[in-house]
Amino acid sequence: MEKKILTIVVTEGPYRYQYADIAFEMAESAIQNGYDVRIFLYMDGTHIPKRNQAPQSFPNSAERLRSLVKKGVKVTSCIRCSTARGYTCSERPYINGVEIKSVYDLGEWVKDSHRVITLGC
Amino acid sequence: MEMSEVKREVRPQGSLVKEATLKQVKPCLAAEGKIRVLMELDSEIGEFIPAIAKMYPPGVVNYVRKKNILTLTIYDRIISLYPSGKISMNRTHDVEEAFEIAGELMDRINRAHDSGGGGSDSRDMSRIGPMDVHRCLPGSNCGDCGESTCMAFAMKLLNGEQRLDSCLPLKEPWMQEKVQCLEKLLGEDMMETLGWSGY
Amino acid sequence: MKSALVIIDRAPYGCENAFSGLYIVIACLNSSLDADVLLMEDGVYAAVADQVSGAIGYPNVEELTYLIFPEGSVFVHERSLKERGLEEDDLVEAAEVIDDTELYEIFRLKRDTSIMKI
Repeated sequence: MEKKILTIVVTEGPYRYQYADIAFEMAESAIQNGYDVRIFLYMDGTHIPKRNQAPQSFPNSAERLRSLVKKGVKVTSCIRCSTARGYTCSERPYINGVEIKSVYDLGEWVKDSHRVITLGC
Repeated sequence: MEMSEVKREVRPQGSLVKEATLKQVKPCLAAEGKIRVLMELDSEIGEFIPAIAKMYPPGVVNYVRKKNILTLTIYDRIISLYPSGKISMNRTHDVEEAFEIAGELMDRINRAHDSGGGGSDSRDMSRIGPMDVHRCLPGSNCGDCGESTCMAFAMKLLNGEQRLDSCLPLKEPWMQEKVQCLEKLLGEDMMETLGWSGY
Repeated sequence: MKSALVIIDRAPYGCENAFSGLYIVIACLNSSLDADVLLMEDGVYAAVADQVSGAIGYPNVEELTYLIFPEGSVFVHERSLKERGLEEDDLVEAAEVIDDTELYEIFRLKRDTSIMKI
């Protein structure tokens, strides 16, 4: 039977807001419930997969994202937002497994998805 | 392809609208044939929109009376004309195509302006039905146009799904009477809009 | 999902939400997915006419509404407008002002709609 698809759109960066953490919890739970999970990083969400984050007291958002990628979660970030924030033209800006595509791909994801959740202010 | 504004004099002789300014082009990736475009003409056109609506077959026209916004499903896309003189269109290939189509629209707008909003050569298309068109067709049900009967062709023509050029018998010399009948019924402008390119 | 509804509740220019949210609607329409935008609270400012944003160097948000209509609707919440001292005449041509009853109907009739508050 075809798996159901959950798309989560995150529009805020890590640490200042905990929407990324909420997204991760939801993704874990959805995976356990047999969903195919996709995460679309939009606006400040494009900060989440940045390499070399070293929070002292908070969980490292990039590492949490990495473990989700390993579990098969598709993570895409918006090229316009990533480029604006300086990620696209750097060498290896993000952890492995994060694709930089476009909001037009989000349009396709929404069409394919059974559930779409947006997290942000 | 995010763009800054491009202004062009599209119809220098136009009585009302001469210039079109391209204001927005989306998407930012060049998806084939899929850009949507916002243009603005150099004059407000609200006064003439009801007349322009009557220049097109009812099947392709959607007129929001409350807002005086005209939406046309023509040239294989959706085009909206706003009272402010803004024009939006989707499914466009490139900037050149946008300006070309804008030019065609500007012709109609200027014509509506010239006839004082009444339209001397244009007919009130909402009063023309398939029966009226059918009377001016060969009536042989030959099927050259792809439809099974001339009546079917007449209906599809008014819906914007068929073109007059597809009726091959009409081009024959002995069909001149029928062509004249169509001209009298529709007017030359509408004949052209409905896909008649002449002999 | 069979359609999408993007809800925007923040004003443009002070916050990227309005601009990016409208972009999502355009992206959905480009994927042949029905999509509308609902402007509520401070989001109604995105539909105010005659925006001139050149001075601050940011793109004009009003023009995006023209790229959504008529394939998608630009719904503007009436109560939010009134609270802010705005009227339908202040808005872009494509805007459709809806009251709370119509808002309820829109939600009630939407089946299989992805609702995204941006």
